[in-house]
Amino acid sequence: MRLRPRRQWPDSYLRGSHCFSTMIRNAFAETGFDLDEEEAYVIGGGLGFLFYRDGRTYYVNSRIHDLEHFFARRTGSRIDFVSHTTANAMLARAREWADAGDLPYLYCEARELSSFRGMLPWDEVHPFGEHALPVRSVSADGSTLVNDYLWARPITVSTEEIATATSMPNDGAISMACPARRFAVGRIVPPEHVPDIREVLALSLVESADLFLHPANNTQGERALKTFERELTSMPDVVVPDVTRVELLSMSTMLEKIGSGGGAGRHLFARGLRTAAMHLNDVSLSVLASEYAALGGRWRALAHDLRAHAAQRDPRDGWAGLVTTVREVRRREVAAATELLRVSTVALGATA
Amino acid sequence: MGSLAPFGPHSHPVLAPAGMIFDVLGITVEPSAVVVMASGVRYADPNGVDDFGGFDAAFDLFEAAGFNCEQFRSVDVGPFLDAARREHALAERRWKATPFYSLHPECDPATGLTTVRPVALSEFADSAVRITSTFADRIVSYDDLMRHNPSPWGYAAPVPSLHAILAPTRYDFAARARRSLRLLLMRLATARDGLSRLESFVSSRPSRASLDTYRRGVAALSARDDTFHRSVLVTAIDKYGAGTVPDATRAGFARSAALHVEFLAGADAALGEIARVERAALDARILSVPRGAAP
Repeated sequence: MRLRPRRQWPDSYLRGSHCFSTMIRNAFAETGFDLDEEEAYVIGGGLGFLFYRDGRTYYVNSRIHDLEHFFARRTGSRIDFVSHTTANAMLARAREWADAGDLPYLYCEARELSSFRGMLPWDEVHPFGEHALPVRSVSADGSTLVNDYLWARPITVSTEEIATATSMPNDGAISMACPARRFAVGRIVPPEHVPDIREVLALSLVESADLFLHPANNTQGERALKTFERELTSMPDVVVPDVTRVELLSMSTMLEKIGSGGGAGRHLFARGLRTAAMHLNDVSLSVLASEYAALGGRWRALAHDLRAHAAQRDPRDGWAGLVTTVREVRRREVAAATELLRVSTVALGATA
Repeated sequence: MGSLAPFGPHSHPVLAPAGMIFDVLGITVEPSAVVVMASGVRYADPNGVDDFGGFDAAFDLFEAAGFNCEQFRSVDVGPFLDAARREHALAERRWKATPFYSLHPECDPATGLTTVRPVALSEFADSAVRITSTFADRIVSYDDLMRHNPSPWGYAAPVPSLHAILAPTRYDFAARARRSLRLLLMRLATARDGLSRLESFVSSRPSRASLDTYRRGVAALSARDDTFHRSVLVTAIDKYGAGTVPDATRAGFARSAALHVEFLAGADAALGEIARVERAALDARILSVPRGAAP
């Protein structure tokens, strides 16, 4: 079946929990390859975990990088993006693509957008870069009409604000980060034909579980969880209490409030698994969905504990309990991903 | 470069950068697995020359290999060079720097034709960088590099897995190639730059001149493989498609390989037959594959 590509973002933008998966859902709405946000999240490899320590900085994120690229790889789509030297050049490209009906979006830092400033506690977290900002149109004076994942209605953003947000002003703040996509505009090139959602979901689940269990390095997946546990164990010996407070708050906010629906994104992933179970007619995936929902609850409780420790007079009091909780979550995560790999491998076989 | 050798002018263009990257790590990879992981079976673009999947192909390759892939694309050369050198230095500090995957106009010394090809960028120095393709391996000054004006400038930097660095001889690509083969076949069937590109061209009733232009595009992309890499795909199906790719799909692409030889030899009618045979081959995968087979 031929896919009917959209020429504009939906008039009433479908809201969601995460910028990229919400954007993908909107890009494919009423195309014949309609997806829930949670399906887009699953296909894009939303299951993940990132952790690294960089001196006094403890950075945690609950999902894998490049969700839009993984989604494209697994659906016959492509991501076309390009950086520019100036904001004006970027906006000219965005205008050209919007006028052509190509659904452009900008890569930017959400904390620099006034729409977000009052919504999330940005001062609690380390700048980490990329946010997807779908562009509806660019006016002659450079002001830009955008959509964003928390709002159904479009928002007008001034040229100055767009320029600041897309300049990635905090590029390099975390030294492990790669060069940011400065003044970058992207577009999703959809497939010509609607792919088989069953095969797409099964392949995505197998790849995601495999990547979680066999990550590229110690900052990702199961290995990152081990590193997280180890670094948390030694944290009171490595950094002073004031720094500990700041970093505990940062980790708590990243796990619960920044862009994945809370619970380290496991609630969103669990909903996606339920949808996958329906498509693949596989009750084992439904059982796993319940486990990931429970894990979301455990991550949420951990985020609460991290915040509570940060608020204590001495954040180190009761530290062993915090480490024990992380260990328990890690073990459940590994068990769940192992089962997910087994179940999805069988499901993939059944879609052949 | 022994693992993928020979990757001279006759080999698939993606094998040059991939071969350098995997060789630096001491990893041996079977060539058809590399082609499949890099989504390297293509259709010529009637409106231009295909770029082997661009940087997305590199993302596919590195992620399929279990690595990470850091991508950068810029309209301007300055930010491209700054980012590439910064990323390379960061990779050196982090784990182990390998060559970067990029695209560059390369001249076929036999035909004199210049086409955009996958290349490896390595040995970033103050004023020059090493560029390796199937056609040439040389040091190019940044000034000379900037004489070209690709759109966009870009690279895909592989971030090798610790497993690949620590135990390269035990790095097994078979399971990864099996999954990638399924993704490739899905891409051929559904993507905009997949079979629909050829079907649109055929259904437009192209003139003789258009067909000749298209033939030249296929010839340039084929890297002197007159089967237009369909024989590589058949090899990959034999190695990695057991139980998941039906015989009819294999037979269709084997037939397409022969038809491409005819088309490149001048038989215009073969092109429509290629489109028909390949669509049937891809549909067969959906309609008649045994169920419950191992992935």
